[in-house]
Amino acid sequence: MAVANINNFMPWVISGFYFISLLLTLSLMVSVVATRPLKSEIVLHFVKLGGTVILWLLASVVHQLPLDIPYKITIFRISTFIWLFLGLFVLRFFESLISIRYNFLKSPFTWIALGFSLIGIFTPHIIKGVSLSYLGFHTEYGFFTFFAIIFSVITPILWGMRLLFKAYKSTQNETRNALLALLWATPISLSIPILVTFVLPIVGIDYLMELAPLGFVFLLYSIYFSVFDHRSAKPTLFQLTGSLLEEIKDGIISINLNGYIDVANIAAAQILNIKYSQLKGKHINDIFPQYQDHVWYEDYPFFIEKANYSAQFSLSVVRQKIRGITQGKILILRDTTDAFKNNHENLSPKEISNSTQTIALRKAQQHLQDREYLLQSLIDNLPFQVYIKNKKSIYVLQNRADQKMRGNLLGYDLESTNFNPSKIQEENRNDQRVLKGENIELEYSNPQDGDIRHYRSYKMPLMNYKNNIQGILGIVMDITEFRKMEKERLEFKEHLLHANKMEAMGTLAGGLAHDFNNILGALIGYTEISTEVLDSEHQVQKYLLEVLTAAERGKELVQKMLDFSRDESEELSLISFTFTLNETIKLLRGNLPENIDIYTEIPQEEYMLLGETIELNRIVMNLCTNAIHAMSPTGGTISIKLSKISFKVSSYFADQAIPPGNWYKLQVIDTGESIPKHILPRIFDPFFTTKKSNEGTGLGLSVVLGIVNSWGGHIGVESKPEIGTEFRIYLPIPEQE
Amino acid sequence: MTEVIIIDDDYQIRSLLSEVFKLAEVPVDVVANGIEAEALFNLKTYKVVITDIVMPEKDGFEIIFEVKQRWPDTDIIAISGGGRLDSRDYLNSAQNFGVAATFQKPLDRKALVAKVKELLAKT
Repeated sequence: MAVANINNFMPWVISGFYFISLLLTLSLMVSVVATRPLKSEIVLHFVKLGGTVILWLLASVVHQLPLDIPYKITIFRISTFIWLFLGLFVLRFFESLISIRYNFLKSPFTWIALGFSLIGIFTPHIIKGVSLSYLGFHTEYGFFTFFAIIFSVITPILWGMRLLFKAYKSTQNETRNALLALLWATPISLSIPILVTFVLPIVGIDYLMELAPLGFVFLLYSIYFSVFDHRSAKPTLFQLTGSLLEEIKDGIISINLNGYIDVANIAAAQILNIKYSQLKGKHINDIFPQYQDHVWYEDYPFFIEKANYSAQFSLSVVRQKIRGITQGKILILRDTTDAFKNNHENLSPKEISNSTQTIALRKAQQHLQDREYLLQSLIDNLPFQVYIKNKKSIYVLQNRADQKMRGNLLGYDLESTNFNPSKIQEENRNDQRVLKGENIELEYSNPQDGDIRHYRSYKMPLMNYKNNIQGILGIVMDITEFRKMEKERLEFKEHLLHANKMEAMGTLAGGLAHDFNNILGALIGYTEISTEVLDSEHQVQKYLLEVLTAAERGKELVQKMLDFSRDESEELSLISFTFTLNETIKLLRGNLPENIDIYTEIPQEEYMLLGETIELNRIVMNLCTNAIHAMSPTGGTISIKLSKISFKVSSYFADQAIPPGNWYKLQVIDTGESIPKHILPRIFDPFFTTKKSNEGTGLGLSVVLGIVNSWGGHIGVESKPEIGTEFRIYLPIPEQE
Repeated sequence: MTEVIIIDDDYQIRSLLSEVFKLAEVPVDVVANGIEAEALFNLKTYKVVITDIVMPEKDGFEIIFEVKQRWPDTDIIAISGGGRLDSRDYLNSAQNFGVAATFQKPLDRKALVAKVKELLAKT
């Protein structure tokens, strides 16, 4: 009775259990269908699979209902049709995941499933009968059952797993994870059916086979979480939208980091003129040889010319980044053949290709040429020598100035020239130093056109953009003029210094001499008086004589000192008046204030004068210095005139009477402040000056006077307000010998 | 009547010349500079003026110039110990001013005294 109770009760529980499983599975399918596009192959096959499982669960529900045994057997037999096709549907689903399409009817598994199904329905070889246990009704299996299960269910699933595994090996994107998950989930979920169908019966438990559907429910849920879950939706979205890709006219090829094609659409195959099926799994360069992985393409034109196919397309490449890491690239090929053909109707594809490239090339070359020309012009026209040598000391660049100086050395090194060998050695040594990173600056001189010219040479290492030394840059400048000017300036400075020193010395000596002469005067005077007062026989007389001798020696000493400080020799020599005058004026010009000019009237011919060059210099300098002083700050003009003049009778200028004869007339005229009448007679006085104490010693004009007098000449001055001042010097023209 | 005036800025020269002319029995006035001389000029007219050239404030040239202008009959003797220039140079310039005689320092006493006496003698 208990058995009957259990027998009545348990099936309902089991049935209910299967019914709940069915509802769960149904809800899973509904949620997938509702959120995914049904057009997708994957979804479609999943639905097929899920539907089959649902049917099986339904059958399982019905199995447990209280029906007569014959009917029950019929139902069980019919339901073999369902579960025998399950393997196939799993396989189909796996295939759709990895985008493989197979013809349903061409697949052997279809026929196997069909075959076994028919055997199962119409023969008792698969379902022998039905029996009841405490866990409900279950089938009794026949001879073919295991074969059926193995060939119709397990084998296709194993085949599917193999496909998944292959795909898993070759994919680099995140679908790998989904595939891996499935590869694990499938055997795990199917372990239940295998356990209850094959393992347990061995130990005598043969009534748990009906639990097999649960394995498939488990599989469905595993599929859901590894494939349809939103977390891994991203990579698979790409595959789910595969149908979208097919709609686009542009060719899309997704390649992994190694360059192998993950996904491609038909348009890509069409553009590249290859069979679509040949795209999968190939390396991009197998089908698109011109593609270079490291080049960045953006609307870059490519051209295909085959025997009976020519096309042009533009390529853009986009990086496929997931979480910032490049996982692959997507090539987008846009067919531009038609547009292009319309513009170049009569050209052959090859000509078309060439013209586009040539135009671009020519443009770039033109630009480069312009830059090159500009640079070359610039370097060529620099007013100093520029050259460049490479690391082997061979000249690779010379500007015009350098070639003019040294000839054309391009392509040669110095050794092959006829320059001085020791100089070549030095150059080579310097080159080596420069190539090690040193900068060399040196000066040298060369005789040139009868002159000696001075050069300053700079050598420095020439760097390339990587900051490596690739040669030597040399610059040579002619500094002869510069040196000349330096020398002249120096000379003038020295001269000025000397003159000042002399003046200072003279002042000192003069002052000393003056007082000393007074002292000597007293000494000698009183001593002489003493000698006269005393008797000529007085013994002191001889002592007084000694005193006088000493005093006399003192006098001579003073004279000597004065002579020395005056730097004057009694001997006058014939000097060149005109030349000296011109040189002095040159020096003066170099040091004039901005607002003062010098105007000269000096004859070309050489006048010879009896005098001293330095003294003549001094005269002119002193007069001009005074003139400059008189004319600053308003400025003006100094006029310097030299001429010859003859008098038959005495001539007068200012307070000067010039005796008749032949004279040189030297005039220094300024347009500055005139000298007041009451000062005029004093200007030649020693120490007389209108300047402040730090501006002048007042000796200038007295010196001039002294010199002029010692040469037998005359000097006079005229000064008128609003007009200026004229100093006039008459110097005797030497007799011709 | 003192008809001679000596102008020199050195005190020893002054005392020396005083002594010299005292021994020569020629009365002289001795002053140190042109300003003092000016004061005396305003009091009397001298026959002979002996003046040093290089002197501060008013130098010999100035004195010569003035004397020549105001008392054309007065004779002037210029003496010089030199300075920046040789005494000859100064004396040459003085010559151009029309002095009666020039003497270089250290002085030849005898010559100087002789010249003075000569100038005093003429009228």
